[in-house]
Amino acid sequence: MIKSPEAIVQLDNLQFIWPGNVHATLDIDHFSIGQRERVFLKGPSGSGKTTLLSLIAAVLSPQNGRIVVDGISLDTLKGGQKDQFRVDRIGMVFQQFNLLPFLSVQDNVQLPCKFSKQRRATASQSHTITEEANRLLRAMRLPLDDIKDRPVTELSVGQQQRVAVARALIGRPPLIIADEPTSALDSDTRQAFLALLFAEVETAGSALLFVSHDASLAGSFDRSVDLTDINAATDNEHQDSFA
Amino acid sequence: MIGIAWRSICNRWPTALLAVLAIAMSVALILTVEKVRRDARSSFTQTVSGTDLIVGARSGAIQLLLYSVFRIGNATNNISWESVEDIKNRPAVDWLIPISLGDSHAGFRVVGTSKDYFTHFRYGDKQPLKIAKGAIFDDVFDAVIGSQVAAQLGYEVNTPIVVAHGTGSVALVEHDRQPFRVSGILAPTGTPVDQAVHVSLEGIEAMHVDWRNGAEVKGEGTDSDTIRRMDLKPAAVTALLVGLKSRAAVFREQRAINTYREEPLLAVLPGVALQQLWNLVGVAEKALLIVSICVVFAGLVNLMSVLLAGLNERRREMAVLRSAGARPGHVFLLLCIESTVLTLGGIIAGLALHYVLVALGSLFMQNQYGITIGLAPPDLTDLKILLAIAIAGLLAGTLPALQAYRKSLADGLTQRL
Ligand SMILES: Nc1ncnc2c1ncn2[C@@H]1O[C@H](COP(=O)(O)OP(=O)(O)OP(=O)(O)O)[C@@H](O)[C@H]1O
Ligand SMILES: [Mg+2]
Repeated sequence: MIKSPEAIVQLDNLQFIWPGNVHATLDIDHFSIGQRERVFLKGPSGSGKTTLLSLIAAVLSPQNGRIVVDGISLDTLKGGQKDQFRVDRIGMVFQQFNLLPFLSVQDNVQLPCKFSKQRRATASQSHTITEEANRLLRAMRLPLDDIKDRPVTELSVGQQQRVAVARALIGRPPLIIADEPTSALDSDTRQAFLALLFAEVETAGSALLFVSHDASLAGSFDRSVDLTDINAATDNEHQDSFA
Repeated sequence: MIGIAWRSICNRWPTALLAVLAIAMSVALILTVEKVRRDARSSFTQTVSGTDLIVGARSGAIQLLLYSVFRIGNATNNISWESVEDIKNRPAVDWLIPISLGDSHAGFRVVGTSKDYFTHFRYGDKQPLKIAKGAIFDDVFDAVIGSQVAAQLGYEVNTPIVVAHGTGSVALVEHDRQPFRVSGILAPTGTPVDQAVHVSLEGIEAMHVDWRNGAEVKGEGTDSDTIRRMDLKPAAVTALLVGLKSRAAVFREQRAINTYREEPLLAVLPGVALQQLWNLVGVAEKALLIVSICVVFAGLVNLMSVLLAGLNERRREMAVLRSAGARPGHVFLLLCIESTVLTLGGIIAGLALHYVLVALGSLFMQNQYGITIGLAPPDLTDLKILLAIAIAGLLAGTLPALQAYRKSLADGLTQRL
């Protein structure tokens, strides 16, 4: 196994079939993301973008091929190690419903530190974890004093997404994965959100894999990838015609 | 993890509260039913001891037991005084307590009896009756009252009382021309004795002097001293409690009384009659127990449905937790902790409810039937029941937890709504 120091993510000969499906959802010969690189991933609905992210995050395992993330070959990891790997190295933002409704904004942001020693250590390097969480929330332009103790369900969708970014970034994981984090936002907030995300990803020194349907966002990324271009399995009938 | 589970419950408090309430009610119900069953039994068993035979007019054994000892229901017939004398004169008979029922005072039963009642009657573990204040009746118009009578009516020694004909709690006709006087108050026994007003058999006769065939004789009425000089030998009594010189003779004596020629009589062994009563009550008890078990089951099904129903809305919470590094085991644990907390909460609330019910119920039982139900810490049977419910609650929680575990693995990172 060759560790490539430039790549944070490297896929080779990847094949994935959902259990019960006849056709492969993903068949990727090669794909990689460099350190600190910001990659925009697009593709029609049902093309397997979320599936790919799940594979990189070691939530799913491929039937064939190899995935190396931050120098770790995922097939060498066992059950609990995968969860540990994920929280140690990856910060995640979903399309929506990123937050646990029963935890405060503060606790939601600090959640990864509960499960990862590594991120706890990084987050508490220069100050306490709470202060780091507050710093990130402020960096995300959130009115901290206003929202700190409010139930997360009272936040606007845009605010919730920014809290989710703060959580993804806490403890500076080397890779941030975002699955359509802007699809619930209007176009103005979308741009502002992206700017904040970029700034903090930059500060954290993380790479960013960003999935979106919205091709207009692609311009600000280092690289834009269309999943249909790299995925040999896309010409089957699994694709939906609407995107 | 416990903190997260707790806050998750608090977030869902309305459903959580309902689940806890359902379990609490089922726990309270089953504990209370169990307790009433056991206490009623022991209370009944405690009511009479040391009596070898109960004798009454021929009727059912259970009926005789109920009216003679527990003062529940009424006798249909009496025993004539000649029969009483005959039984008394049998060589095997050691002592005999006559009991004459049919009158009441302020809702409490009046028991006509002899002084033998206070020397030979035993309750509980062969305990004799004790006089707390005053003395046993000496005069025709003396009455010895039970502790509950004294407490509820506020009577002291020498309080004059008026006795009514009939046994309803509303006095029908009062024998107000022959006022009685409290001569003594008995110490509490926790049996129907506490609820009784005891007078001598002559006293019972005395209050009926001006009554013939149930109707009041017109006129001035007879004054107390005239009555005292009258021959007040009772014509009949309602029941007899008989003590034998030797227990070995009990079946022979029972047979002799049951085949008595002059009058149809019935003699029963208190233990045997109680057993018959239990057999009768046992059916109802079982039905009650089955109902309680069903209620517990319903409570658990409710808990499970609350957890399962929550599961769908929680799938995305699971996804978030998983993305933040929570292992499937954590997800499983989270739900198990929740169901445990809910079950334990239900059990504790149920215990509290049970004690409230018992406290209220014991007042009622004491007033109505003189049956004592004490507040006691849960005994071994109770603990077993609680343990079984706790385990069932955990199992009920495991199913949704397993479901969540499986789903959290299968969903990948896709958020499902
Ligand atoms: N849990 C699952 N079990 C079986 N098949 C699935 C599952 N999740 C997704 N798939 C299938 O895999 C394919 C890719 O799905 P995926 O969610 O990765 O698409 P996507 O590119 O993220 O789409 P979208 O842009 O709508 O989010 C689809 O055909 C879908 O039906
Ligand atoms: Mg998707």
